[in-house]
Amino acid sequence: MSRLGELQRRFQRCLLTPPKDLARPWVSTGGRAMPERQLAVYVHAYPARLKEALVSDYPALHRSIGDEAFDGLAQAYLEAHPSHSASLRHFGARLAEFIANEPAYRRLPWLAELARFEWALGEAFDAPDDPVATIGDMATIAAPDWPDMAVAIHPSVQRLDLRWNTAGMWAILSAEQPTPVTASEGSAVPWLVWREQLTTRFRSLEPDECAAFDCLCDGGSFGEVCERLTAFIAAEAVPLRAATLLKAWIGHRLIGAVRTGHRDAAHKVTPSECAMQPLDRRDAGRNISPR
Amino acid sequence: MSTLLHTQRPFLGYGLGLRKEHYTSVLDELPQVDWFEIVSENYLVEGGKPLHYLDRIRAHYPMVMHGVSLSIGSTEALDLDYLNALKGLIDRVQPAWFSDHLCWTGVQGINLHDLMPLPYTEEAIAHVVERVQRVQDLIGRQMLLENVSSYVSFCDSQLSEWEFLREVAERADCLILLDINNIYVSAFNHNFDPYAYLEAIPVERVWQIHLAGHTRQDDLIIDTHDHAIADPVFALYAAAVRRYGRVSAMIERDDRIPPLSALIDELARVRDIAERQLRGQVA
Ligand SMILES: [Fe+2]
Repeated sequence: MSRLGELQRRFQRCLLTPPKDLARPWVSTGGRAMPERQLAVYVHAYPARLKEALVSDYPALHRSIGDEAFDGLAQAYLEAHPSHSASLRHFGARLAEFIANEPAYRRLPWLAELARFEWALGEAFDAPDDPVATIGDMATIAAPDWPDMAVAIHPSVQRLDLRWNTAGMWAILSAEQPTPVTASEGSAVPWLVWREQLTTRFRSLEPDECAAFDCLCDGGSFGEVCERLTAFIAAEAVPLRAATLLKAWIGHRLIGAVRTGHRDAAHKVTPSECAMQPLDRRDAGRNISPR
Repeated sequence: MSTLLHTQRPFLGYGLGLRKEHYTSVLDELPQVDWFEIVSENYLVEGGKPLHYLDRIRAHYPMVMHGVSLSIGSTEALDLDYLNALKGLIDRVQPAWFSDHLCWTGVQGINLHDLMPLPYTEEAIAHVVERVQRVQDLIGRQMLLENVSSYVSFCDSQLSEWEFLREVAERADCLILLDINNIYVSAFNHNFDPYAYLEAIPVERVWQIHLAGHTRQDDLIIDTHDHAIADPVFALYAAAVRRYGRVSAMIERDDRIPPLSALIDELARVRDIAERQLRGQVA
């Protein structure tokens, strides 16, 4: 171990597990402040900075439990999962999992799901700008090619099953003037979180739509999607329902490249005509501040 | 012979740090800012708004890239994934140059996300120099290293901070981003003369200047970037311009971010002070 390496380990240990008395023999007494005061700047700044990153990634969760409780959560999470990434962007990735496994949060059973939902919004926010399929692309597919056609789901799309009224709570908590919100549990409802152009969106799925979409996600062909739909509706209604769903998914920019048995279609990004209300209240980006 | 001696220092003018709060104002108003500095890590993402605005703003303004995660002084191995991602962003942005800090940010796989100071020793110089050379080889161009604000001084230090910075820059043949506020903050915290610091830094290596606000907390000054630039920092900047001549200068603001117009007013003062010094007048 080099002398420099030893110093860095010692210093880092003071930040990760701060001792009560911060006086350290390797800190010079020559500065304006006492050695323990010198170190205290770093020891206090470390959890504050990482908590700030969590607040910016989980603003609704922060509001839902309040700053003091969030402080405790951030501290416990930081101790369990210090950052291993060059970017603060990834620091909060395991918060939902942490909450779910932490006995202290059993009295807030909806909290882990809210964290999972909010993280999904963040994942959609800066997912790759892959090209999306258009209705025009579909028109070029010959009738015999339809059953074998498969698609890539756009990388911004996240599929979640939510047991709580999480999306509704998130919307209320994200309002300019949040009103009181009550968590209520039901049976699991399938949701999509994704980004259309620059706007992050979410919506729930009907049971037949969910079965069809999950089939596509698993690499299923359009023919297999139609087969899945027969479990929900009469066989003669399936082609129209399947076509309607696909058209809606394309309109919402959920579908990336389309593959038929013969060739890979090339797709350009075109402006969406979809006029859904934007649900995105997030900022236009994160700032990771230098000091 | 170093590449530096053949290179004329470019002058970009007076710039600002690009912050997300100002994306739409910048694009709508195309303000009279000569150039923008981006924090590289904010754009090491795959898509969405950050890269959308980056590309559009880049189409109108020169840019430089400023990193916070290189950890050039760490005894941990260099993060090659990070460096490759940085190289990709450099290809995309085509910045006038890229920079990071003369510090370390963690060991044992952990990133503290802070700019931790180094002891000013021969050992640290040799360690940093070797790593800067590897980074410059990998990226394929010279980098700028910035002096950080520090609150701790180590018993191990044998040199002054300015001797340390100068030795690293000369031996690694890299350039310097001089943060005038950081000099002021560290000079206060460690009882040294900030003007002596300026005198010791080789003129031809200083390619960029940072200016920012700070906060006094009892017996220390903290580099908070949440206030306007303080008058003594402006005075130190004037001395820097007298010594280094025309150097691309900019304001960093990271907290309590005011409207863009307020930063442009502050930048006008920076420009005014520099131009007066260059004309040989008193600020
Ligand atoms: Fe700086």
